[in-house]
Amino acid sequence: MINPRHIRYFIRQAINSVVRSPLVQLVAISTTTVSLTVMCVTLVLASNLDNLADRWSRGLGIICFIADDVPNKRLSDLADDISDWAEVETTTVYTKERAFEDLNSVLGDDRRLLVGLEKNVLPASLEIVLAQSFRTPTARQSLVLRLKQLSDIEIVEKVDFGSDMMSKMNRLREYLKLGGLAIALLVLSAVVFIITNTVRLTLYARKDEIEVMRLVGANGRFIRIPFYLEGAFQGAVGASVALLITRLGLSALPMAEFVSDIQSQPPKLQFIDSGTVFLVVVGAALIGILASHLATSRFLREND
Amino acid sequence: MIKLFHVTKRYGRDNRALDDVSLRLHKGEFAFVTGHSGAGKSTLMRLLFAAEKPTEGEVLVAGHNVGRLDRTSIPILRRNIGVVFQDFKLLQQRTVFENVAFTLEVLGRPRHEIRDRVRTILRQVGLAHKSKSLPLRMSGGEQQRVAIARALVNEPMVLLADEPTGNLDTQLSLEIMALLEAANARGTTILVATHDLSLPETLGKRVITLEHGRIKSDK
Ligand SMILES: Nc1ncnc2c1ncn2[C@@H]1O[C@H](COP(=O)(O)OP(=O)(O)O)[C@@H](O)[C@H]1O
Ligand SMILES: [Mg+2]
Repeated sequence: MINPRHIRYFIRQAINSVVRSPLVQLVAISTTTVSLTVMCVTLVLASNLDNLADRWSRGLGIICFIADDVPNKRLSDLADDISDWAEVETTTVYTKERAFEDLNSVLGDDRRLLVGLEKNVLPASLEIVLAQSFRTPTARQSLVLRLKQLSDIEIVEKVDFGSDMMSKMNRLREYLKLGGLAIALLVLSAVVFIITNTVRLTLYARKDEIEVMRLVGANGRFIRIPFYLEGAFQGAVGASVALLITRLGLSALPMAEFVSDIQSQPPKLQFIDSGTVFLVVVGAALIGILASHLATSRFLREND
Repeated sequence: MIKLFHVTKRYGRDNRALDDVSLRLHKGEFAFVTGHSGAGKSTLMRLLFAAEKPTEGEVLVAGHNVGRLDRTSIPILRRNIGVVFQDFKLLQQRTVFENVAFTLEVLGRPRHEIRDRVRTILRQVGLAHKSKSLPLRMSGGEQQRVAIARALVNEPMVLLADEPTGNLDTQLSLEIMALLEAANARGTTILVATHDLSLPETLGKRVITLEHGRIKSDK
């Protein structure tokens, strides 16, 4: 247990060590910041690419063309039924009329091509977006089979390479995750290394003090906690500054508009959400504590 | 209070700093360990406050089997032992008061208790007026008195002093000894290591003499 009377002492010690060697702290915090900025940028890029990939694979849904004699009422009932299936996220109904209107507006100035065509020349259709966990080629295939068993429906896939595209996309997302993880691990070990060494410097600077502490019967925890606070401080400040830099860098990026131009729905480059921000700061503080723990353990063992 | 039972301490293969040493100090005793430089006095002291482990034999201090203590029990032993060294080991950035208070701060004593006890002990060693001074500004004799105050402020059962007067002239040495005798009169068991043979003679105390790590005489 921690004696509450010690808390003031711990905080005072940690502040002292930060104040007494500002240069060491500055170097530690700025190198931590640089490493964590790399991680934050990676995190932002990965989550945005993942969003993008998600949107694409959403587009790789299934389009069912409906036989000409099915009335609109039956069509919307069918859509309701299907959207209750576990594999399905949403269904959208395109009646013959709506299909014609869409074509009309897509053609724009070229719509005179349609002159003379009857309004029911296009087939009605159902557009099905797969639920997140079913966006794999096999799940898609079995959904197609299930749909085919319904009467009234002729399945035609929107794109022939839909399944192929989907597995490529899934592989890309796997790589993204792995790559992100690798970079995160690299950065975190760099941070552990940096903070461990800063705390070691502080430990050596305070060698005499620690010797006296041990002579008068201070236990390991008492000696360590101020250093834990120091490490947590360095980690948390480094992470906060890194997040700030990433956030500012992101809003200064012309990319944000470029990406929205090539997409139908305007997807701005997103900053990571506030939950993740919190996680990054707390995580960095914990990493700082871990680093201090490693440094103090080694020091106390060597200077027994 | 202190008991050594066939204690041997070897550094490396055949460097015997202590060789089959057995001795006993009763509660409230005041004794000296003497011998030439390299005789093993410091090694004996370091075994007693668990800075070293014996290679062979048993070391008992204040009810603890010191050689067998694990890391987490050593601090508990040290809270019952005061230690004083030739080089004082004071913290230079802290005032006299803070240096002495440190022992109690580590134990998490309440602030008012720390204040009262530090004041009392500083008065006893004659440094009440210097409580705000920094050690570097003080004479060797004064610094050693601060170190003694730090060692005694928690009223330890045992006080170990390794060459406490090594840096001091005869007059100051006698003053330091008077402080130790006062602590002894209040019940603390005291063991002083010194190569200065005149000190124990002047005081008429028990003297354990070491030579090449063995007890040569005990009287
Ligand atoms: N840490 C150590 N490593 C190796 N040898 C040591 C160590 N400490 C002491 N010795 C040796 O042990 C012997 C006794 O030393 P010490 O106890 O310091 O003697 P004293 O305090 O009586 O001068 C000496 O020969 C010394 O060289
Ligand atoms: Mg010695």
